[in-house]
Amino acid sequence: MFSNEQINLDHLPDFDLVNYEKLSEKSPIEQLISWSITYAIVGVIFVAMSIILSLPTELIISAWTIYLVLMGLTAFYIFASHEKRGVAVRENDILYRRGLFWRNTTIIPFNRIQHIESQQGPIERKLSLSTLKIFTAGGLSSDLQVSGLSSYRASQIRQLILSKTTSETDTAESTHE
Amino acid sequence: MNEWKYLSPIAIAYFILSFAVKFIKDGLLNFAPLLAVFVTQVDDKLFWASIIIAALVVFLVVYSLLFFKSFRFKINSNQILLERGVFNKEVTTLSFEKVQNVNLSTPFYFEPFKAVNCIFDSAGSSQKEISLPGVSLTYAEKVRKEIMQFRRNMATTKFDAGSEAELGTSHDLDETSDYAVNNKPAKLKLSIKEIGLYGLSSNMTFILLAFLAPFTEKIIDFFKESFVPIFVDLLTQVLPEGQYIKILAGVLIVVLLVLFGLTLSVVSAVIQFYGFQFYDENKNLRRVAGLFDKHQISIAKHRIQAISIRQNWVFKLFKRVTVQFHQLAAGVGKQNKGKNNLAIPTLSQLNWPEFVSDSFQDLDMKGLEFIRISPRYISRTFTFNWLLPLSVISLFLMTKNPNWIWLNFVAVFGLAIVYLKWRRYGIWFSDKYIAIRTGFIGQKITILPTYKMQNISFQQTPMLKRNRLAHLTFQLPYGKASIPYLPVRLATALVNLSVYEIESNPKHWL
Repeated sequence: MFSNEQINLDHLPDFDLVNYEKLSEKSPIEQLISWSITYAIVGVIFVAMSIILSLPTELIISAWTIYLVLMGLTAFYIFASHEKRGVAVRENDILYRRGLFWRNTTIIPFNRIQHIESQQGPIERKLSLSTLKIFTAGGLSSDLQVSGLSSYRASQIRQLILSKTTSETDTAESTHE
Repeated sequence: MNEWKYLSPIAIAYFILSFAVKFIKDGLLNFAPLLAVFVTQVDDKLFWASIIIAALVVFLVVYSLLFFKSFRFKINSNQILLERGVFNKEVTTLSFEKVQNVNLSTPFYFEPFKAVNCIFDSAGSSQKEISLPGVSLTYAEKVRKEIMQFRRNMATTKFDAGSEAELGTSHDLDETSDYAVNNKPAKLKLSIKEIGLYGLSSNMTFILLAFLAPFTEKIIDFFKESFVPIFVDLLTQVLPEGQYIKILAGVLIVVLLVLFGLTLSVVSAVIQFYGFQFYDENKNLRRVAGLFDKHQISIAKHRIQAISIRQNWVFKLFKRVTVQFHQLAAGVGKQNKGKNNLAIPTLSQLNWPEFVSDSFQDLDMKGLEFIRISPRYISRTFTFNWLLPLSVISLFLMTKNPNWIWLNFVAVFGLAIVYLKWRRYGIWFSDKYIAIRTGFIGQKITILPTYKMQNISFQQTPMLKRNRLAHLTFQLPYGKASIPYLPVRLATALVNLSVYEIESNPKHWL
């Protein structure tokens, strides 16, 4: 049966009007810890180098200044970007918003999700956080990674997506054009 | 049927040729530095060159023989098993359900033996190409029928033989099954002249020049020593002697080099596309082409993820376009990507809408009018990508030498480029399709069915937000398509409409 009903653009569900849920409060802590480890390693290497190579004092001072400024900026970025990150789940898709300067909202319809993975690093495990990876077709660039979800919320979303996608496949497979 | 089979010896010829082509295509570029050293450093060129070439040929033949001996295959009731490899034995299994197409290609030297190369197209998985070169035509037909039958049975058990089964995945094979006896005339045939035109437009010359660039100095020296005197001698026979003769000889050599490059690209285009025939078989598109190896590619129309129409500056002059039908990108890497795509290398710019309509039947090509992006693209891109970096660099350099002020004038070119790019950017959409136009001097139009999109991203910077603009990126099964500086109202409406189409359309995207 052919039909051709008019679609009113203004009446379509607006992706811009959803309420985003912030990621877990522990997410910035996890990022702080992993960045601190990185900074600590860089710091140790730098101390060792300045002792071994007996670098001039001015160089050491300016390098430490840069180091501290970068550290401050990183910390600021972690908290500021946390404020801007959020996920929202609608009936048929999941939305992920992120980015401090480049604000990016990605919408992934459930019926396009190929598979989904959840991951926990050692620090994430301690803080009971999870990273959710959502894969769609189209190569590496198409994968979406949502880190900093509480483990509970991550498994909820995972379950929801899985239930949605498995119920989709039956209908979807049968309707190749 | 359940025992190992070996290929007929004619396959050795196929292996020798395909390894040789592979070596020239992939290997030779890597040996370019060695070649440069050889040309400039080795004294007895002819002697050493013949020894190297002889060694390569012997190696190639021996390797192909060993590869042929190692090659065996087994076709069970539901899968193809392949074992091959000289140094590393490689075992590949391809189950029938993964086979999208069984293509038969006939290199000219196979014809007298009634042999074909049977290629199992497994688009959608990252499998390497699986092919059986040198099997008999009857055997290949038999295998194809079996796979087809398997796919049909699979579809019927899955969907109860009812109406849906007809719509199922079994199509791909149904439609291609008759191509040996298909009498439908080709929709398009390309003459050698047309193919040559395509060769002119492809950028082989520039590739050649680019990879020679690091050795330019040595090459110039080499030419000065060995070729210029010859040319000077030749020229002095017809022209009066003078200082300008040397310059003339130099120019002549450059012109000859460029001509040589162009000939190379024309020849390679002819090898690839000789006898190009394009068939529209209701549910499928098929093309046959190739000088030495008649290669056939077919795509089921419902598997076309997007169609792009390209026109570079050369083609703009000739009023031609290249049309590409994109399939799902299988695996990683460019080579894989290209192999899956069916392309019409050259087509008159007036005719492409007809070819698009054949595949996207519910698309009204007449309404294809592009909306331009915001002119703020010009000011922003020019300021941040050209003016700012150029001023900073030139200011820095001017502290050393005030003459560097000329660097600022490069910005004028920048402005021209940014303006030209802005003029090309455009978007068009209906409730079922989206078309994006990009380009600089030439242009590229990509038309995609909205429901095939995988995900959509909407991007804004605080500055864009203030100006009520946004960027959109559409993820497609074969790659990305994006369009910047859209009015936010349009971008939002487009996202909402696309999401609606993706989520409400029951058709499967693959």
